[in-house]
Amino acid sequence: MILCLVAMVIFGVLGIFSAKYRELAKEAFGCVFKTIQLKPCDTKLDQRIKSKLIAKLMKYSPWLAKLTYKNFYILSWIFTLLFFGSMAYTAYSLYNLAVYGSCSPGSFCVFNPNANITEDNNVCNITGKFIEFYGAECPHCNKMIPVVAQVENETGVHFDKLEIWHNDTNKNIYLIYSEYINRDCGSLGIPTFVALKTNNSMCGEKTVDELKTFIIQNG
Amino acid sequence: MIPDKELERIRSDFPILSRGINGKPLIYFDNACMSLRPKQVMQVMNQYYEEYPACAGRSIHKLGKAVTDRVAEARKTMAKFLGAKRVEEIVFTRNTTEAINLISHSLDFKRGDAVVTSDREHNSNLLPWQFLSKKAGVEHRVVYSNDNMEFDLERFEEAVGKGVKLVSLVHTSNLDGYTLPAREIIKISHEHGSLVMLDGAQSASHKQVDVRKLDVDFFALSGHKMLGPSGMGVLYGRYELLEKLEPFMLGGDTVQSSTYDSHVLLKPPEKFEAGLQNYAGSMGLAEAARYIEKVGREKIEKHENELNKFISERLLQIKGTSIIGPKQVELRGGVVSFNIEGLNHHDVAIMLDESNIMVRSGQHCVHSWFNAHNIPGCVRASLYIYNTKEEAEKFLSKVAEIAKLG
Ligand SMILES: Cc1ncc(COP(=O)(O)O)c(C=O)c1O
Repeated sequence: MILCLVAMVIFGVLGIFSAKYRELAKEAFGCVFKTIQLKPCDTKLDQRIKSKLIAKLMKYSPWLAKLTYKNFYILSWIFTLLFFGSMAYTAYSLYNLAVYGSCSPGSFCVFNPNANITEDNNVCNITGKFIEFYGAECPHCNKMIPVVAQVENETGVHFDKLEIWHNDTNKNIYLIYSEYINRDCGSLGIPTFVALKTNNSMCGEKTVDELKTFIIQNG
Repeated sequence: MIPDKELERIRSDFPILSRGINGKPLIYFDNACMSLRPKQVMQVMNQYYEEYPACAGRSIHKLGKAVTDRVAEARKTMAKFLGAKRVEEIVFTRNTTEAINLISHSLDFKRGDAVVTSDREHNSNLLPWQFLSKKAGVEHRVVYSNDNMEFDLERFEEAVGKGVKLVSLVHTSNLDGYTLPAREIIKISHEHGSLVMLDGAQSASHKQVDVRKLDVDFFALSGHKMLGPSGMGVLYGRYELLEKLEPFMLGGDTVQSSTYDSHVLLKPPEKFEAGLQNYAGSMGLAEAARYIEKVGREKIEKHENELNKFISERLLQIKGTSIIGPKQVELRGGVVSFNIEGLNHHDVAIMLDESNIMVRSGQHCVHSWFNAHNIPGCVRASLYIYNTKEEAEKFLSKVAEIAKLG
């Protein structure tokens, strides 16, 4: 039964390309459907899949074929679990892709292969620089310290942290960006995060995910 | 064996052997289930549909006449094929199963009568008797084979005593190819006043059968196991017996005339052939019989058994294999039923199929025997007129490869 379920999905996909697999997918579907209705599935489909597979294996390695034949049910369970595991992981990766633009932030992503992996293990394709403007006594800014640290840790992107309440040089830098900050935040305030590559900014207390998205979109 | 040249010519008559499957050659070893068909059979059947696709026996026009003549000719061919005394002794049926059921329904069984069968009957020669036993209180006796799976004449003599109306036996078994000593059995049965029916589904197509020499009362066969069309069979019955039998299916073509409350039946065989018939089928069947006769049934029997000898000897040298049936291959005709230790029979068949080698796996409709012996099933290779030694070699080398999995 479990083999039928897996077969249905696999042949369903292969069936897009070949009529032969479409037939098998149909059969597997019938089998699964019957099982759901608590009727016996008598097509011997699982036995056919098994023996066909062994017959193919036999051509390459009789030893491996024998091992597979003897342990087929254990192996099919292992493969089934791996199959569903990888399906779940794929779903998770697709979610990441939708949210962060990479299925696996920080490493190679098949859905977005252009994302390059830097030596620092950065988020796929981040090349831009980021600044966080803050005030030494600003409570919102202090709350952001662990959040920013986590984001830096997970993405490898570093924020240049510039204090502006006591440091005039930094304050002048802040004012250079005031036009963009006003545009994006509606007013001037801190903490403020600025992406130097796009001149986009973001103000106030943010979550880890919001910061990551900001990095991905503006890096 | 059939000489190579002739074998080549025979093979060229079977389109599927040259066409193969997806262009790859096939080895067809499932002849006990259905044989392949030569182009001659198909041509004759096409001719019916193309040239005279009409009724036999009813219509007086040219097409009707053409069909009537050809069906009569087909009946004559089948009568000759079985050695029947009269053409009217040949009743066309759909298959062996229908022929056996005709007898089980039409012979006037009474409560207390008995039917004797062997212990390895096809369901088609078992269920009708079980049904009769339930419905009409007819006793069903089974004669068990001896240790070498041969028919046990002593046990049979014990079973065939008083009250046995019919002895119904598989002539050649589809399980192991064994042919029972029909002559002796029939002689003993007749001495006890019992009628005998032989299930000839696997015999008439593979060996010489002469119903008169056998002195058998009823004989059933299927066309699709003897190069003929699917859904076509024959019941032979001794004319005096057929005359007395009531048909179990009635309707058009079985009556001379009818009023609102009565009818007069036709004579055999028409009274058993209700409704319009498979005319193309009967013509195809007769053509198949002619084809077999042209090659010669003795030659076919020898060819199959020699191939079987070649296969059986080598098969038993493969580790873990065992053959079902009598030890002597001479007794097993053209059938090799076997198992490989540690391997499921269906798995073996599927793996062979991957190499386009077609065999049958399972219990081959002889469930009762397998259940009695606690064997889940077996792989069966059954041979025919067109099988070659090269095919046997390929089959054996594949089986040897598969056996390594066990
Ligand atoms: C010995 C025997 N009897 C009867 C039958 C039933 O034949 P059919 O299905 O053609 O009626 C078979 C077919 O496999 C057979 O092998």
